[in-house]
Amino acid sequence: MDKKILTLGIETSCDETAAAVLRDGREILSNVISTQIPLHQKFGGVVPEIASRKHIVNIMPVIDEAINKSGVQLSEINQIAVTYGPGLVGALLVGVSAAKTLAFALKIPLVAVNHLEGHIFANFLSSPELTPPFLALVVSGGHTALIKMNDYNAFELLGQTRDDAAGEAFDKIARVMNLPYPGGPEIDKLAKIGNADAIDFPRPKVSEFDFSFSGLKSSVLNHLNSAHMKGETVNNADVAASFQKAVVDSLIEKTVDAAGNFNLKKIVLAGGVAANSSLEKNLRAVCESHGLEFFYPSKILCTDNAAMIACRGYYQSLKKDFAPLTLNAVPNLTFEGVKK
Amino acid sequence: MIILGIEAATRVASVAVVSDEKILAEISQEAKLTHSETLLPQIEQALKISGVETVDALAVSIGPGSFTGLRIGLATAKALSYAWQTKIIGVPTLQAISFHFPTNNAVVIPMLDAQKNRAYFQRFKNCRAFSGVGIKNIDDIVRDAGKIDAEIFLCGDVLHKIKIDLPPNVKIAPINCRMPRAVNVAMFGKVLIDAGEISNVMNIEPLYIRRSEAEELWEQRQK
Repeated sequence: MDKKILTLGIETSCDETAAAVLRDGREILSNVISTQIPLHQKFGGVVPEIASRKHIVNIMPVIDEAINKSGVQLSEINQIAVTYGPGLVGALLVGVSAAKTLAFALKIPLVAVNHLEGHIFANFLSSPELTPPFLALVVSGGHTALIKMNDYNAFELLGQTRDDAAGEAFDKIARVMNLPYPGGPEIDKLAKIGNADAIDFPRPKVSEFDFSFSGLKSSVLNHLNSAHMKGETVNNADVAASFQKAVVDSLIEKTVDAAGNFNLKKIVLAGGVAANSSLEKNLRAVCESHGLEFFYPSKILCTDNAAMIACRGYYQSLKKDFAPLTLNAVPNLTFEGVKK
Repeated sequence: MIILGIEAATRVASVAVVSDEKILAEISQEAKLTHSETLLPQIEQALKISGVETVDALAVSIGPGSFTGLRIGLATAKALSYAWQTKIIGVPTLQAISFHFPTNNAVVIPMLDAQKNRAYFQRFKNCRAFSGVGIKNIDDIVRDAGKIDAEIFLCGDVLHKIKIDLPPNVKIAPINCRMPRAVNVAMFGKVLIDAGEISNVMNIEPLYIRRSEAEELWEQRQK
């Protein structure tokens, strides 16, 4: 029998300290996530210095728990995969420093993983039968992009947002509505009891497969402001539902167009905003009506986690894509090596 | 006993391998490259020069100092400690700097950048602290030093920010005694080991002294 490869994944790009052990590319032996959300809530968003301070305390207990739960010994780990960007630089550096040093001390290879690519790979863990090629819609707090995955290590960026990411618009509007952080899930909750056709917010018009959400965001903020000035009460649930529908409509329209244009039969949803129930439900329905196969990660794999980083790292290691001990964090990393 | 010293609290990245009677290797640099890029290769090289594979203890500078630098040093030390199952010792950075001056005839005041023209500082005589760690305006630290009845050496990374004339009893330390060095971290690490003051790899954290700005502002708003 062939020896199975054990990958330890480490992720500290934002407000979750995470570590996971994977056997070969797809079998999760452990997936530990320590979230800091309660710490940042009173500030209305992630405070970078506080996030970094929490990571340096959590990093070893989280790694230790991931090793213990996996049932393997630290000495049996074959390689380490770590997120090196994009994210908060101080936060990334904790994970990168720990991962590099573990790889050095254990004399095993290190793989530098792009967090955005990791989100797409979360789907390989949720859906063992999934194989490329497929079209991936990546929606997160910082990014909105359509990626054509030709193979495990061959990506093509088809389009991305020209201004705000979809998640950014969710967070900003939630803040103006005084919803608690993180705002995305709160808007999702509120939208369930609102009328999505109550307000006709503009659908962004951008060419090709690019997105734009800043116009929509301004329009929602104007709506809230002008009602406030006139002393009118706003039905927050209707605003949330109408705004969310505008975002979801625009994401789905471009996705379906791109699938048709490139003749792709599988659609993969990825990133933190993939946890949005309306996006998932509507994209699933549209895929069914167009005869497209729809893939979507489980809730725990939508959030920032290290299992998806280990999965991405495993496939990079197959083409010997290893990193040196001089690896640094790259906070503004984009879909690296992706040609437009 | 062989101790690996790690120092990344300031712009200096420094690594030393020290045995009971010898400095087997020390690699220090104050260059443009970030600690994230240089520290681990320095460790690799220092171990190679020393001819040792692992060590008996890790002594790491825990601050005060640059928040990011401290975390890079500490994350590195923690991962080594965890992988090698080696004890880890957190060494206060100002204390380690005082090891440049093992004398009863002068007072040494290391000063490290605390932003906004302030410095973290502490007073030592013969490597023993006789004040707690303070945080104060840089020129005020120098003025206060002028009132102490002793010869004073100032060291650290903010000396170029002193704007007042030095009082007659106060001197700037020569460059070889100014900045933190890993060999001093390892030496004070040995003192702590002998005193049984071993840190816990699962919860050791930097000595920040200052809270994050967001927390300070938040508390001001609550008043």
